[in-house]
Amino acid sequence: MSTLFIKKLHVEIGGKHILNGIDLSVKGGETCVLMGPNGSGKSTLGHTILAHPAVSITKGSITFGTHKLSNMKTDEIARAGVMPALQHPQAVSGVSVVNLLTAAARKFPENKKGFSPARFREEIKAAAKTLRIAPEFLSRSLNEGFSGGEKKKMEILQLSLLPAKCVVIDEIDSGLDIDALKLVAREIMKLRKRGVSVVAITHYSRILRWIKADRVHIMHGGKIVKSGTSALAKDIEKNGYGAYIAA
Amino acid sequence: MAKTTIAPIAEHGRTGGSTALPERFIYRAKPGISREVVETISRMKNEPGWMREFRLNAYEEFVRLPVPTWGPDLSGLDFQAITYYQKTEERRYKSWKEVPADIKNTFEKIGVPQAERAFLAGVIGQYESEGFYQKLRGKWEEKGVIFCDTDTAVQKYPEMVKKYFMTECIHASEHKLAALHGAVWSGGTFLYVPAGVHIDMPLQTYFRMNARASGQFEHTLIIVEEGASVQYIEGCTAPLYHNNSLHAAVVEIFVKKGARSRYTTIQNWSKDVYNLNTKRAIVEEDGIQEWVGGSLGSKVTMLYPCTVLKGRGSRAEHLNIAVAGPGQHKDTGAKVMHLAPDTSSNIVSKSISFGGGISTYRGLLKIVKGAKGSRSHVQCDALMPDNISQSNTIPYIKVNEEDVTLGHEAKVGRISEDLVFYLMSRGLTEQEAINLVVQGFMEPIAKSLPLEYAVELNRLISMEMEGSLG
Repeated sequence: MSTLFIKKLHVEIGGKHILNGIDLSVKGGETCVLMGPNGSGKSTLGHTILAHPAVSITKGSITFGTHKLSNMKTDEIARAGVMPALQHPQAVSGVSVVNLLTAAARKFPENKKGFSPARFREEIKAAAKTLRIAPEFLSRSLNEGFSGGEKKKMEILQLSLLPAKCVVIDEIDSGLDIDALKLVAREIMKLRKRGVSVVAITHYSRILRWIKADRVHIMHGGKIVKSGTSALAKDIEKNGYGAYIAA
Repeated sequence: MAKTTIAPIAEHGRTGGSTALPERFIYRAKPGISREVVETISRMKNEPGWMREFRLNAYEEFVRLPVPTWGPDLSGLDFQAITYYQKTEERRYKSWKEVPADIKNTFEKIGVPQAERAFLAGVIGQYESEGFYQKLRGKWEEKGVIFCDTDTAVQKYPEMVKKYFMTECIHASEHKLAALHGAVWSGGTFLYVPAGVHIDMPLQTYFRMNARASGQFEHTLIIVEEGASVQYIEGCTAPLYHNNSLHAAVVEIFVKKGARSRYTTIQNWSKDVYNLNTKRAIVEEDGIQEWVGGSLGSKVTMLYPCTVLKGRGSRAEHLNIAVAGPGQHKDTGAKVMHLAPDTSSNIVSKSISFGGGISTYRGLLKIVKGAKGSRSHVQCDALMPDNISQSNTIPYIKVNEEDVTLGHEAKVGRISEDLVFYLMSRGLTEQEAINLVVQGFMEPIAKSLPLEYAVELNRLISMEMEGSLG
């Protein structure tokens, strides 16, 4: 199992400094929660791990096992096992989640031998059932006209079916009702059990009732200003960010 | 020459034509058009006097009519530089065993005999100007279906050809290219389906054009009698070289009462071909005409399949995709005339412009007074992955009846950075991500094609766009 290491990371978007020296490590099977108010840089950190084209690293590095993610393209990072569940996944007209997953699954070194599209299709159906995704959503255009909750479930579905080793989950709880949130959290815990590193980005501590956090970090102004255990999240739920972000 | 496509298994290593073979002919007209060339073609074909007269009258119209200037620039087209007729075989073969080895090998490479065995009811092969092979499964022959090249039809079924050939549907005097076609037409398909016969497997004609700087002018005539149904597909291949070649085909379809016809074609021309076609169907009461088309390659394409909804309750479905890359101009669309009550039409036009290519949807929708209860829906979707290409929509709508339902939607889509990022974050390369978006965009067209063609269309478009983006 590999560890995600972020070292002295500085990042700009369009010439503007967004991250100002982030240090973070997440071991295999560990869940790390990044919290912070709007604009603290937590989503940018997620995008940076995945090499979003709008983001440029000015200093520092990101590694995952032997892979130097900060030198790799998004698809290479994905094939190394590092994948996101996006906050706002795009609609893909004319392409169903089955089309996308089947095209994607073949790309992974794990599936180079003996990949069976028919068997994979059955796995997709079974996973969708677990997440209570209605079968027609598997053949519709992905995310086109989907509700916020359906989109989030589709993100988790994809992560659970591709050979993920480290997942970056951005605001998974927004748009989800309690029942859906529990289902999604259960899938995330399954990933964790598989030894997957989880980086969960969230505004509110609500989801932490169902996923167990090993570490909680508070971000503000592009830096980690406080680190702790899930007790830290509980404190924020009660008292807000005020105590940690006061200038 | 230059028409390519889609055989189920294509030979081409790239789009826009495949490798040229040595040219083969037993007669070839000298380049250019004249009364003498027209007479020679008719004489070589040993045609009856009425067809010779028809050709000469069409030639007079060709001389009289101006080059159309309302659309793309055709000034690079030199009518005197083109070879109009090239004959390669003395006879028509009924078995692949009889076909000369070099032609047979070409067709085997593109999978024609294999496809015939697997899923087709009949096949015609055309090499250069004329058909060389024709075969219809015995079952359909017994039911009175006729499927042969149009030259053969002139000899064997002159009364039918005389009745339908450019008389009611498309006239040679309509425009310069129709007139030129009338004068020098050669080859194409004649398909007659008797009343009540439902042909449940597609019929297909494959065109192979091999000579340089030539013209192709095949004439396809389809008659579907009352209550009958048929699906006809055209597939073509061609080699790579060309100096401003010309394709000016005419397709005329007659859909009688309660009949159903589907015409499918996917053309992939090499990049210096002027592809200027005229295609039209006349549909009688409760009849249905479907057009499924894919237009790849070529320098300039002008193509607007037309459906005349003549009978009450008749219906038209138009599905088209046009792909315009660097230096290419696709001017395509659909025309529908609603001439009777309760008629309906549905037009879906998709275009992809990239690398500076221009694609224009040009449509005409006409509903006459008295065509009460008619409905029409037009949807134009354009996909432009870059900022240097062009997409235009020119929908003419003329409605003289109040009791109608009309819908028009037009959308222009780009392939956003975030969409590509999303797909790449699942492990697809940038090119694969773009290909998947393009495939998704074409999905409504692809699902109307036989599987082999849908796969081939996706492959051709991916290859065409390869390396032009990013």
